[in-house]
Amino acid sequence: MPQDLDTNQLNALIQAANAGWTAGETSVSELSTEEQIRRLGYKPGPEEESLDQRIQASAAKLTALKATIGAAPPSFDWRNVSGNNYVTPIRDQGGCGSCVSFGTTAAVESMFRIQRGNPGLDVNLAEASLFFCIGPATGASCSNGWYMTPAMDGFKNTGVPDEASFPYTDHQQACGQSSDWASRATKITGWHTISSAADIKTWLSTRGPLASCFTVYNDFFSYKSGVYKHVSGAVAGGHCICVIGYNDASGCWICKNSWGPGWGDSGYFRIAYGDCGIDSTMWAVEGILESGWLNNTRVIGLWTIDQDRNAWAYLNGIGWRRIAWDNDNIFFDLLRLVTAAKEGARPVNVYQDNGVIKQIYVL
Amino acid sequence: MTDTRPQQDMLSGTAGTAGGGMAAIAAAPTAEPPTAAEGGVAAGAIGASVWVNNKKINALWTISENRNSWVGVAGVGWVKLANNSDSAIVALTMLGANARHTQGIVNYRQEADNMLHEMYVW
Repeated sequence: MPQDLDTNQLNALIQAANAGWTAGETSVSELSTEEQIRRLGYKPGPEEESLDQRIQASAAKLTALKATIGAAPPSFDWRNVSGNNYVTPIRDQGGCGSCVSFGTTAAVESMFRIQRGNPGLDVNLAEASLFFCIGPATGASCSNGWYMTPAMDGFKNTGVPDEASFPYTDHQQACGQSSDWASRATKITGWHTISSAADIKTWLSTRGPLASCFTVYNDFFSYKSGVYKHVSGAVAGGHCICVIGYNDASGCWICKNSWGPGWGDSGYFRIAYGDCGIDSTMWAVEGILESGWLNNTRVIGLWTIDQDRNAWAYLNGIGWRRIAWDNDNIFFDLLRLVTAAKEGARPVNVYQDNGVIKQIYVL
Repeated sequence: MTDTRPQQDMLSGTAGTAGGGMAAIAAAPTAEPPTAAEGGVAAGAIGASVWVNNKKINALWTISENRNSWVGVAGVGWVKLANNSDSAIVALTMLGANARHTQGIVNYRQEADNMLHEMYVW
């Protein structure tokens, strides 16, 4: 293994430090140093904290984090919310510094399932589109990595289509998404950063997973289980992941990595509060704007208000969608069909553009 | 000049108290579909902004006058729809008609002008 110590030596150090995790051979630990570094890819942007600043801010936050114990649920895990799993499957970024794309997309995919209230929702968005189509304008490449602000802005302003539009492969390449990518794109309503320890836990336990970034040391590549705390090894680089929960009893964040299921705890890891800059700042996805057809659904609720052309339909299993308000006849034609569908309890196929109902079949 | 109002009695009740609840003006709906366990109407006075919940529409009325449309609310009586905008009053009328037809649950916000300004139909 390329790191300074072998697994036995590392485990001895972990035990001596009472660090609470186990090292072992993983899908990443046996790679060359160069290949390991390619599994990372977070280079803080101009308006983002440096990795060192994150480490300091996280360490300074430990007291505040301990003070939050008892203020929010003692633990939360989006893989098991009343038996439902809102986290999409583990992906593998391979030998390309695209972690920012994977960490961001994981947070968006989970938010999609949560917003729909449907843990079984088949959502798989194209990390390649975010990284190779949106990313290059702000310097993204397999060798350079990327940073969070343009990734979140890309989801908000441009949108990312489904995986089939541009299947991910782990080498530098030109944008190769399908010609109809725009009509298949998912956008987010907005994003923001969260720094307060209490707010991070509140968001995680009520709204959804968060993207975050931290400093990876060489010992992390050998993580197998337990609550990771840096013990040994030099800095390998910055890395972004998706935080899917926390556990106060263990004092840790629960995270989804993008190194395949052969690394860590089936692709996941737990990391101690305040360690490696993980909880300095996290990135929150506020909601999903959807485009495309929603077939065979039903209108189960209606809403309107004393404002010009402002009416919404509640689609079963999906939620509220606003009716297009371009002009009077568009608004009233659509509203009439929506009300007819509800009156007759008829199935509908609805085309939504960024979450706005633009077309409807009443069947 | 005062707008005309419906004169005929509705098919059922015309009296009763309206419900209270949160007063909120929103540009988007916030409520989720009611569950079977929900229901009941808290007491509240007409004359201020109030939510009237868990009602049914059992009559409709309109006339050839500008923006003058009413719904008959079971247990409450005739309630005029907000008349500040053409598209708003037509949308409110369409939802009222839907509620009358389906006998779905209606939650609505009534303002100090005694007009209905916001409506959910389930």
